[in-house]
Amino acid sequence: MKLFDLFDLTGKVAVVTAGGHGLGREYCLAMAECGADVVCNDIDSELSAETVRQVAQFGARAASVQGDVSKPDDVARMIETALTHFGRIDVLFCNAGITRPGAAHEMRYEDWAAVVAVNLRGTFLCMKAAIPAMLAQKKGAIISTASIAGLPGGYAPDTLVYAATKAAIIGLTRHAAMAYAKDGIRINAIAPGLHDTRPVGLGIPPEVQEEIKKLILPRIPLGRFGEPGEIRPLAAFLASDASGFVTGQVFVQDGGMLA
Amino acid sequence: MVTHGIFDLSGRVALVTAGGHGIGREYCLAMAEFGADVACNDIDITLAEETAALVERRGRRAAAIRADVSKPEEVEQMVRSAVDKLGAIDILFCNAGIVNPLVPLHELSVEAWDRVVDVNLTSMFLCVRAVLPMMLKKGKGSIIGTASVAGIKAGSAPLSYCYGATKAGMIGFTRNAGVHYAPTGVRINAIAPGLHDTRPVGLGLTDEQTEELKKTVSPSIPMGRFAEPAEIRGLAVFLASDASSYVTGQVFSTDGGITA
Repeated sequence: MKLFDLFDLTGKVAVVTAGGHGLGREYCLAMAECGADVVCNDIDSELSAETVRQVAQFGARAASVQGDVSKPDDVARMIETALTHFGRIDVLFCNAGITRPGAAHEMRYEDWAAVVAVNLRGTFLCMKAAIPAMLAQKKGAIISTASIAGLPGGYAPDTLVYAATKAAIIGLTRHAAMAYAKDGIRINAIAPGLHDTRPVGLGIPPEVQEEIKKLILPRIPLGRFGEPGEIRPLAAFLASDASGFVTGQVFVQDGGMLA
Repeated sequence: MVTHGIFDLSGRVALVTAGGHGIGREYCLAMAEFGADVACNDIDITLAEETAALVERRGRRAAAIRADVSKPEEVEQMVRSAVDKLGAIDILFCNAGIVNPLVPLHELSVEAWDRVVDVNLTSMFLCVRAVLPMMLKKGKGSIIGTASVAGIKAGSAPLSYCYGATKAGMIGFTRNAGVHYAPTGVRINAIAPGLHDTRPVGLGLTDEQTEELKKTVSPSIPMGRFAEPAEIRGLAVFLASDASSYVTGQVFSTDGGITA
């Protein structure tokens, strides 16, 4: 079933990083559900291939691109794939993210650098690569996956570098939005709270993920985690003309945790 | 001599990164005036030495230390050197920062991006990581990051998205680390300055670009003027001292009302 016409993305092309699982896969499915063709990136090509299979059920065209978003060459290849296969890029989801545990005085520099490379550098690289095509079209929507960890009240233990990069993504979103506001490119962020996704790829061991969830559950006013699919309408809203006057904003979806 | 009372920093040692000029130098002088000894870091040793001399003129001990705070090994060495010379670090100002080249995002080189992230954001992690063990051991410490209004609100400084991103990143870091270390006696806060009338030494901007930036920003400042550099000192002393003993994880703007 299609969402309302306002959210229609027929003829549009969406690129989603880390679209092979979790919220990234939901973004891909949301785009396809609204009529867009989808380029699904993931560092694990088997996961993105599975997303592509699911996207095809909506009748959309889809391509899978393996790539590490912290690497400029990989990002360039992803954007080229979109342009070669589908001729345009209307929507970009900068969604790839990892984390490593450790308080400031215990964290290894390599762990810090790895997370900054994927979360922050990766977001920048994808924006940088996709914006020229959007400038040429005089239209585009970029949506980054921030996190409640990057906002006041979103603290959880062992999330220092994650929180720092997610806050930085919010800063990047605001500034880039102002810079390209007159070019028809809208840039916003989604700050999800805890959604019941499998921890594939995020780099958090399942038992730690469970521990975090147990710790956070009492702080969620709605008393439950988000269903992964619940992110889809927000993704459709921000990707489509439904949000035509919205830019530089961060949309929190967290069961009331930060309220 | 003023009675500083709760603001007194006698017997404490402050380490200030990029203390050789601008707001960093103001931090150093503020610390000295309220009784602290000061380790002044800068990537330009001549500037650090100038500040150190100004600190000594106020009757405090000082050390000038050259280091690029984006480099882990140089940070470790800087902290060791400060402790060797002054005996401790009770207060840390993470103040080093540069602005990204003022070109559209899609034209910014990856190298330029990486450099700004390393100097502005990663340096805070490296410096905080290096001083925490001794602060934790002492059960007390105050860490202050120089964020920016650019990390809170866009529009006041066009094309500074990488700068703005890293400053927002510092705020995220400050909040998260502030909460994490809250039970330990180590407090972590940030100052978000607006435009101060500092010379652009080391910030990576030409005089011309600085003037242009000021012209652009001026109309957006409710107070209608740039701050005098020294106007940052009060906030620095407040956050460094026991005056702010119940304050952690917070960001304080001093911006003439820009983010009001």
